[in-house]
Amino acid sequence: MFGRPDLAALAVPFVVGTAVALLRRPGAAPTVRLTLPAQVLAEGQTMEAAVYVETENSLDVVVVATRTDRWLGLKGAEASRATAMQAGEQARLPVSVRALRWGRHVIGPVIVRSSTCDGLLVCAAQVAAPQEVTVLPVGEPFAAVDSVPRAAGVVGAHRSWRPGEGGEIAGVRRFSAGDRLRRIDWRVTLRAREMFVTATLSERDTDVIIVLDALHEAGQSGGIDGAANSLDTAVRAAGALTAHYLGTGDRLGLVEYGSRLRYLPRMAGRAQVRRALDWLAAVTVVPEGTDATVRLLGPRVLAPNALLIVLTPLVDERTTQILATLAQRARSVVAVDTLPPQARPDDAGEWSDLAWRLWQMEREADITRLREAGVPVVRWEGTGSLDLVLRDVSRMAVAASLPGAAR
Amino acid sequence: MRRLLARADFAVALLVRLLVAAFGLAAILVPLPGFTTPAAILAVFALPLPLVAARWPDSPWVPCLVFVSIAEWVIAALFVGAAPLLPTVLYGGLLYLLHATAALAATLPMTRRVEPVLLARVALRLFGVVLVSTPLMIAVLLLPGRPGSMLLAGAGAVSALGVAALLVLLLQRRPAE
Repeated sequence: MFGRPDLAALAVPFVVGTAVALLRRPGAAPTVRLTLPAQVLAEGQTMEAAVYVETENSLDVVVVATRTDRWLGLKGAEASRATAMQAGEQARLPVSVRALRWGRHVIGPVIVRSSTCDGLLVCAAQVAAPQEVTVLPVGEPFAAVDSVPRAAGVVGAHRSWRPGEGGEIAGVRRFSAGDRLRRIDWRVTLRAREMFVTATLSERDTDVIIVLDALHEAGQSGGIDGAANSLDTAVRAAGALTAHYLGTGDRLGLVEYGSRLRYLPRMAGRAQVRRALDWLAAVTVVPEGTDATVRLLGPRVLAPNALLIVLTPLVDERTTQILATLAQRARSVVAVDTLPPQARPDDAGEWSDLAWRLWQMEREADITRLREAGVPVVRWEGTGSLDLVLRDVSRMAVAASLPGAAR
Repeated sequence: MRRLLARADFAVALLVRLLVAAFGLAAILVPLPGFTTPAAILAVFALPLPLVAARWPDSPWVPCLVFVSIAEWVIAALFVGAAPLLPTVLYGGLLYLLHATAALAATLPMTRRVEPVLLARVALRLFGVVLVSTPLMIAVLLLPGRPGSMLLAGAGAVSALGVAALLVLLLQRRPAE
């Protein structure tokens, strides 16, 4: 119309390009699914998940984006990628994740955006639903010398204070009907001109209840490769203690004390180890809730003769009061300090340092008062952490059970 | 090695954007009548536009860039006269490449790892389109008839309607199963 055929010529590639693109117009959206080889991992373990994308039509650009929890380390290059797909093709995109911290984490959703016809047609995003992965805590192995305050079960591995068949010598006593001949102490018998036998203490199992203070989470968690915060230490220590005590045949229960009260009933056996680790993976700090102190101190949660191991950063007055109350009730209780040494609040001003030092002094004073009240407080150091304090607790339990002991 | 690969992944998306910038810059420069001093000055002023379009390929800056380029072409033709056949064909291909690479860049965010097959298929398709378009463009440019005649205008209008009808037909037809 303007006598300019060049303008019409410039439109030719666009017309050809659009026509070629529209010839391959797709009829259906691609489908996407996420498959996990396992739903349960241990800290530090790596898993290769896979995203499958299927399409019936040719697609120019398929962008697959995988989102995960921050504690499921996903390699950046694998988190999102773009590819092209032919009609009837199934693409398998491996997604390698590494469990960086215990807990219940989510992998997904996987979002697939596709376009074709030179970007002329864009498909609505296709989403594969997220899936939950349980990451079990892994702590350094724990072992303790055989010393529990109230071994009161039927049979077990702990030395009890009751006489019976066992390996621990309690003394000598006169021979009575039913005593085995190999128990006769010949030296004493010859000296006394009367039959004496070696008396032993029986070996029994015990109840152990581990209480996790989940009121606060002190410090920054760096996952399995970084620094541990108070809850990391508590959960990993609880895992190690669980494996140890259940391995020796004891009955073990777990209690989460925070803004909610959650507990795992006391049981023995290998299945309880798996149950306990799974339970530990769900420990979390709930910001708001009801005060669970009264329920915690009730007889239903904390069995009367159980050894109580309280894993706490000792930053809340409520925990200190609970420990003092338990000691007052002559319960066998050990407090394990889980506050990481590097934990401290951010610098908020010139008084921060002074306030921090004052708080530390107050905390030290509280710990001293707890020790005076009969609650041994020990820092978690892995194997052998509780040896010394368990001996003290055992002695105190014996002293408390003697006639005339002050209650 | 992994870090190097990660960088290479990032580089593919960057390369597509660099192509958008390069084609955009060429689309600004080619319509100018010769690389003279005023052209260089204009190029300096127009330089940010392809860069902005490359940075945000899914923004209106890309159509804006194409519009500025075509406006330059029309104005240059008005003042200097119609361009010869070969530059016109090259310019037509250039505009299409700018459009297609910008469309690709708009669907490839910078954080994505891009499989090489994607680029290979796109490059093959673009090459095919340009190859098919070239003789058609030459045919259009060599159409017989006096410029401005009613016959040519009528033929152009019929062709435009035909093309529009073809595209509508392609859009409305049953998709490939």
